[in-house]
Order: sequence, then structure tokens, then C-alpha cells
Amino acid sequence: MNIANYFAVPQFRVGSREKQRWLLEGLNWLTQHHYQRSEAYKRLLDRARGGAPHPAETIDEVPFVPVSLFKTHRLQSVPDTAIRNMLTSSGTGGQGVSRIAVDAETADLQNRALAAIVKTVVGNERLPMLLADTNAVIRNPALMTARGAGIVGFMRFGRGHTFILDEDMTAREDRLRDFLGRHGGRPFLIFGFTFMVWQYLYEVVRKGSFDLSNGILMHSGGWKKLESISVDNSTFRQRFADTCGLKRIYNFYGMVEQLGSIFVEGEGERLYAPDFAEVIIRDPATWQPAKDGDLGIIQVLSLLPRSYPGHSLLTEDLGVVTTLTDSVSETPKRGLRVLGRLPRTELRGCSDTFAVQIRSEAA
Amino acid sequence: MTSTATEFFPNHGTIELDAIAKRAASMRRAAPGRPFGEDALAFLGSVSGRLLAEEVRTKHPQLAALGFWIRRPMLAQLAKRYQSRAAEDSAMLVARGLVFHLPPANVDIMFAYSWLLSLLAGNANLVRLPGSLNPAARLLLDVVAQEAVDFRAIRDSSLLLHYAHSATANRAMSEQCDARAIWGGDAKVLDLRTVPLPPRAIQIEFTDRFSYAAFNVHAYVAASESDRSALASRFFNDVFWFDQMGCASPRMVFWVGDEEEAKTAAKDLWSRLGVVISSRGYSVDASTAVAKLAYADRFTLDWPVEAVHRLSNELTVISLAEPVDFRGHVMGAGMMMECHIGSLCDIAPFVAPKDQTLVQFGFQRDEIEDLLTKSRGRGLDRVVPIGRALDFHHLWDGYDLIATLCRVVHVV
Repeated sequence: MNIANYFAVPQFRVGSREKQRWLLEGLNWLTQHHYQRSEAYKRLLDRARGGAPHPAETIDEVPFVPVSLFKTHRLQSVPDTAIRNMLTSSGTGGQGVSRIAVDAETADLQNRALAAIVKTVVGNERLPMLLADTNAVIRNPALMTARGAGIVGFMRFGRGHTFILDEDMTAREDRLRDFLGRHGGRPFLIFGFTFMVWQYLYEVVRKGSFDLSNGILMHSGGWKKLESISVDNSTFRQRFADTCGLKRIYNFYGMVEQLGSIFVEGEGERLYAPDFAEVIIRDPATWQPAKDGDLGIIQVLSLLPRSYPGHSLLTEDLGVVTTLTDSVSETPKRGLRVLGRLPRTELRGCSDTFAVQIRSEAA
Repeated sequence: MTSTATEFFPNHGTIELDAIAKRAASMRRAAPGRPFGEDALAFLGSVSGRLLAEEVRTKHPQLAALGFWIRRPMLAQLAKRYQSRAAEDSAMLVARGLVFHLPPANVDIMFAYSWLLSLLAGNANLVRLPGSLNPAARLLLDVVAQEAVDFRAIRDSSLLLHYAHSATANRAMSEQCDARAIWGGDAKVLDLRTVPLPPRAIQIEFTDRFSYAAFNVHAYVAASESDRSALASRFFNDVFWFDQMGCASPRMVFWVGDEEEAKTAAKDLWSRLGVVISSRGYSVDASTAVAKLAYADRFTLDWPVEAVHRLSNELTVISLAEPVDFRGHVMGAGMMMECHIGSLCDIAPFVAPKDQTLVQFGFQRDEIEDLLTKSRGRGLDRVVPIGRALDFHHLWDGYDLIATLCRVVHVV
């Protein structure tokens, strides 16, 4: 399987049927690959998925692994000596941190995949880049968080990096003015986490008069904090367009467990899979793929993970996929909307969650 | 820190924590002082009558269970038994004085069992209710308030209130009591142990527990179709009430006897249980379903699992090669381990202090006693037939609650 074929072409273009065939072949290969190389994955399939894998006939038959497993177990398909990066993410599920073992090959695939996606969105040129963050998050590798890793990963696609925040998280209006003075007349790239972009970049542009109409914003990280202040994707887009002319805005969805494999906003404010990835919405009552337009749990599939069995993951996010017809090519394409995290249920029982209760009641 | 508490019974209103000492003194004076007083029996009898009424029974079966448990004839029998036992020892039972109850926050009407038992024992009672009360608990409080109108001593010797947990508030309450009953698990018990009690006061503690079931596979296979269906129906109650999160909810099944019969029995019971789950309309939400998937996977990686059977979102059965100590890592909501063993006493090496209830089917009393002997006192406080795991009893968690909430005075 030569995955490089996927990155040679602009992303989000492969016709649906052809894509499904490529993907199926690649995912089946990966299931076998991890089954043979990861003892833990083999054990899971043998004991908890009914035995050795047979080639899936459709993508939805590819066995999936709950993403939270990476928080409690080291799942890897290469010897320890081959691991180049141990990616970590602070989970919001309260179960700790995901640890993802990445070897040189997978790291290379991740880089090339992300480059192919960003080039499709931004173009081939490395543009001047504005970051809605502080450079403190990338300076100390020991403090490297998912946020820092994301920033470092994206910085490669730009030049003349300007962080608009100070180390003490103060937005520096002067830096923005200076950046725009030098680069604002031609296309430039903006990157940041959704909440940071809103909290810091929007707060600055809202108060002054800035022209960001040449900007291309890529942002990610979820809407939970913004929903609490009633800002959804449409509002977000509208406000930026109205205050500073920023219209080329691309929200994207991805996770450290499938780094490089991101779903990028396109037509209809929906997110679209690159050609080497796919999304399936599962009905949590039956675990069958949900009908088009029905709410369910997001499963993500990607051809990138080689050094760990993460090619098919059940997330803890809710989403809807709607099949739309591409306005240019008139082929069908599947657009994802992410509707936040699955709400957690506390099972009742005889034991009080006492420590938590004391803390919250004392607060 | 708030310095007030909300009073729910006998009055509605606010009570200053500074006033607790004075109130406690008057409650003590009003209490009957000895167990099974006529007032207590009559009051509990009339509450029982109300809880057994048709409309309560259909809406709140847990209240009907409580009502059944405090029926007057049943209490009269208990009275006779305790009194004759004391008489044989040339002793007299008296109340402890004032009992401070800290019922669990999330088992809706547990406070009533703790309180009413202690009332039966003749004590004054201070009960800290949970912050939020569900409809069953609110109805119960209404019934109690209405029935207590005629029982001045009950009203004057009881105080049901809610306050935010704080060391100061818990200390203010604890200073007044002769016995403290703490329900709600290890963390709560350990935390409250740091709040001192008066020198002579005792404490009864309800910590986190673990329970399991054992089936005699030969007896199971020999049972008729309808008996097996009835058994599955009763086992459903054991497992799924309280989402399998009760102290007494079984979390593992031991299939005891011949291996082939064990396989037949397991297959049969799980499929019948599946039918009961659907017919009773038990279902888990998406978050729990995902949590169960992940739990079963983690369990598979961590323990000697032979196979995971996901029969539905509601019921996952994990077959183990041997019993494993997963007491600190339980799931609930229909997550069942199973394991085959040759005879009941093979459970003995597995028994641990945390173990509370063994729900059993098809064993003789001598087999059970053999198991309990071989367990060397390490665990197991209850052995009950299938379907009765969650039946409350005054013998609970290794305590005789009535005897414990009384004092034995030797009168020679």
C-alpha cells in the first residue's frame, strides 16, 4: 500500500466510491498490521471482538477502539526503541492523558498528511503567520501540551511568526498592528485554538479598526467554552467578517490520537475528511452506522497510524454527517458537524462522591 | 461556611447550628429511652399503612418495600425476640441516647431505614438529609409529617435537616451524639472519622462493599423452564436496581459444578436475563454505553479474560479464567464477570473484607456454612437467595442494627 499517493493530490477531491475502495484496502491492511505487531491490540481483537480479524467488506466493519483506551494503556505496534515522540493530550474526560507512540514513519506520514491538507486550503506558498497564542507554550518542551504541539505542527506552514499574546496572556494590539502593517496587504495565515482566537484575537479586533480581509484563519479545539457564551460557528464567522473583514475561516476537527488527520470546514459550515480519512456516525443504541442526518457518536478512521493501533477510533464526541452534493464537481460528499462531547452520566449507588461534594459545597 | 441548616422535620424552616446543642438536649428528654415503645410501634405501623397503599405501591415500589418492612406485626415479633433474648441474659435493653445519621446522598430513601430503625431502638435522632430529595423521598417526608401529628414524642425527639458538609457543622452535630451512623462509602467514612465523637459514643460505618452471585449449575439446569425464567426475573432485580451500583448488587457470577453444565446454564441465564431487560425497559444512555465498551476493553487488557460477550448495551458478560480481585475497579449498569468453579467453597480463597452479599441459587445450608468457615471471617455479611440482594434487613453489613443502637444493661 503506497500511502504517498494520497498526499500527491489536493485533498478533499477523491470521488466518494474510489475513496471508499482505497480506504477499505488501507484500513484492512492496518488492522492486520497492528494485529501482528501489537500484543494488546491482538488481545483485544481475540478476546473482545470475536477473534482474529477477517478483511472488512465495508469500512464500517473495521473494528474500532475506544479512544479513552490510550489514556490507560500503552498501545503500540513498534518496539520502544523505535518510538520517536510520545504525544500526549490532556483529556477532558478526567481519566488522565492520552499517550500516543509515534515512530519516524508515522511522524513522517503525519507531517506529509497535514501539509497536503494545509496546502489544499492555503496554497503552496508559506505565508506570514499570526498565532493567537503566546510563544511560552512552545518554548519549554517539558511543558509541551497538546496546544503547544498543535502550534509547533502548524508553524511549519508559515513564516515570520507573530504571537499576539505576551507570556502573561495579555493581547498585544501593537504586535497585531505591526504584523498587519508589514503583511496585511497580501494573504497571510492565522492559527489558533478556537477559544483563544475568540478570547484574544476577536477581543482586540472588536475594539480597534483592523483589516484582516487577507487573512486565512485555521482554528480548532471545540466549542464548549464558546457555547457557554452563546457563540456558535455561524456567529463566530459573522462577527469576524463584520468587524475586520476576515472571511476565509476554516474550523477543523482532529485529535492527538490521529494527529495529521484533520477534518476541515468547507461548504455548509460542515467539516470534510481528507482522502486518507473517514468519519462514521454510530448509533449508540445499536452501534450500527447512523442514518444520514442522524445524531450519533463519532468514529474516526485514518490511514496514518502505523506505530500504534489508532486507525479506527470511537471518540466520545457527538456528531451528525449529512451527505451533500459538491457544488463544483456535483459528486456527493459527506459533511460532518461536531456537536460536542457526550455528556457524562454518574451512575448512582451507595457510595457518595464525597470528596467532590465537600469541595464543591465548600466553594 | 453556612452556620444554618434547613429543617425538614418536624418543622420546616431554618435552624442555627449554634442552637443544635440545646435542641439535642430537648430531643433526648423527649425520646422514649427504651426500644419497641408503644409510640414507636404505633407510629411506624401507621406510616407502614400509608406506604402500602395502592397508589404508593405502583409509583414508588421502594416505599412499599419500606412499608412492608415496618409492618406492625413484624415489629411486634422483633420486639418479642429481642426482649426474650435480653431476659435470658438477665439484661435489659435501653436506648443509646441520641443517634446522628449520615445517610448516603444517592440512595433515595436509605435515610428512612437508618432513622426508623433507631427510632424503634428508642433513640433521639438527628438525620442529615441529602441536598436534593427525589419524589419518593419527598413523599415519604410528607407521610411521616402527617402521621407524626398524633405522636408528640416522635416529633420532639427527631430532627431531619440538611446542611452543607463542613468540618465545623459535622463536629457540632457529632458532639451531641451517642452513636453516629455513616453511610456512603469509604471516602465519606474516612473523612468523618476525623471528626471527633464524645468518649462513650460509638460509630457504625457503611463502607464501599462488593457482592457476587453463585449458581449451582446442576440445580439450574434441572429447573423447569418457568422456574428459570422466574429466576432470571428475580436476578434482574438484584443486578439492575440502582444500576448495579448498590453495595449488594452482584458484579460477578460463579458457576459452580460441572463445566459443561456451567456453559449450558450461563448461556440460558444470560439469554433469559436479556429478555427481562427488554421487557422491563431497562436501558443505558450513550455515555454509559461508551464507558462500558471502554471498560470491557481495559478489563480485557488487564485481567485473564477468556472472552467478552456483549449481549446488548445493557448486558456485557466477561468470562474469566479464574476469579480476579477487581473490587477497586467496578463498572455497573450491567457489567457482569463470570467464572466457573468446581464447588462453592472454592470461592473461599477469593473472599475479602470488602465482600458483603452472596446471592445464591441451589446450595444447601451446610455448603454455605462450609464456605463461610473456610473464608476465615474475611468477608461476606449476607447470604441470600436470588432476588433478595437488595432487601434491607436489620442484620446488615455485619451489624445487628437494633442491638447496636441499643445498650445492654446487666440487671442482676
